[in-house]
Amino acid sequence: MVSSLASEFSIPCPKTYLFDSPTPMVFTVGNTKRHTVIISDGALEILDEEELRAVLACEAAKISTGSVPVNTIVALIAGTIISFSNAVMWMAMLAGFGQENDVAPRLAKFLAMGLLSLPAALTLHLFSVNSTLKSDELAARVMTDSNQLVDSLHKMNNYIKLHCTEYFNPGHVNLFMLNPLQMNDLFDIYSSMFMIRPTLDERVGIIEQKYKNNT
Amino acid sequence: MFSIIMDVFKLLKNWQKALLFSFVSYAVVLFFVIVAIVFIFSGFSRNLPIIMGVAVSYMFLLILAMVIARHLFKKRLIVE
Repeated sequence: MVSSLASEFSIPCPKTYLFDSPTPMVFTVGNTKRHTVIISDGALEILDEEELRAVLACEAAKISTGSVPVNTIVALIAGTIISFSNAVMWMAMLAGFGQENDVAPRLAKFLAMGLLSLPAALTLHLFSVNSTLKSDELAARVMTDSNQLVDSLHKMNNYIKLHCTEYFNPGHVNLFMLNPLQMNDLFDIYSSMFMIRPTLDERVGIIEQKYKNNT
Repeated sequence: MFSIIMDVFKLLKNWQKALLFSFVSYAVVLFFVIVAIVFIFSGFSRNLPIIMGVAVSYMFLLILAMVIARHLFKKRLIVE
C-alpha cells in the first residue's frame, strides 16, 4: 500500500514501522532523502483498509510537499526542550515526593513547563512548516472517495478525544496527523500553547471542496 | 480584590492562562538572579544599579518574548 502511494506521489518509498500505542496516530520523520512512516497499533485497529490508505496518502503527500525534514528537526528541538520537564518530574519522584499522578511531582513538572513551554512553543510556531491543508488537498486528489479521508480523520479524532489518556510530548505535535494533546486539568494548561491550526472542521471543508472541484 | 482577579482569570483563554503562568515562572527566575547577585557582590543597596540593570533588561526581553508569543498564538492556535 505504501509503495503504491509512493509511486502515485512520485516520492521514494518510505520505510514503515509500527509502534505500540492505543492512540490512533500516524506520523512521518526523515531527511531530504529517506523518510519513515510510523503507524500506531491503535490506528491499525480502528481504521479499515481504505481509511488507512487515506491516512497514508496524507503522509505521502506530506513527504511530497517537502515539509518533513524541517518538521523533524523542529520536533527534535522542541521535544528535547519539553522533555526536561519530564526529567524534573522524575527527579521529584526519585526524591520521594510521590508517584507520577501525585500532586508534588506534577507541580514540579508544571513549574518546569512554565519555563520550558514558551521557548518550545516559539520554536514550533516560528520554524515548523504547516503543510496539513496542502497534504490533505493532495491526498484528496488521489483518493477515489474523499469521504474515506474525512471518515478516517473523524474516527481518529473521536477516538483520541474519548479514549486516549496517553502522554505525548507537546513538542512533537507538528509531526502528528491529528493533535493528540489533552487538557484535563490545570496541570495540562501548557498543552494549549501547542494546539496548532488548522481545526478538523477547516480540514474537512478543504477536502470536501477539493473533491467537489475534482468531480 | 481576589474575586476580581479570579473573574479576570476566568475570562482568559487557555493559551493566555498558560502564557501568564509562563510569565510568572520567568519572573520567579529573576528573583533568584537578584538573590544570587546580592550574595555574590555582598549587599543590595551597594549593587542597586547592577540589580536595576539586570532586572530592567531581563523584564524587557521577557515582555518582548511574551508579545511575540501572543501575536503568534493569536494567529496560529485553535481556541477551544
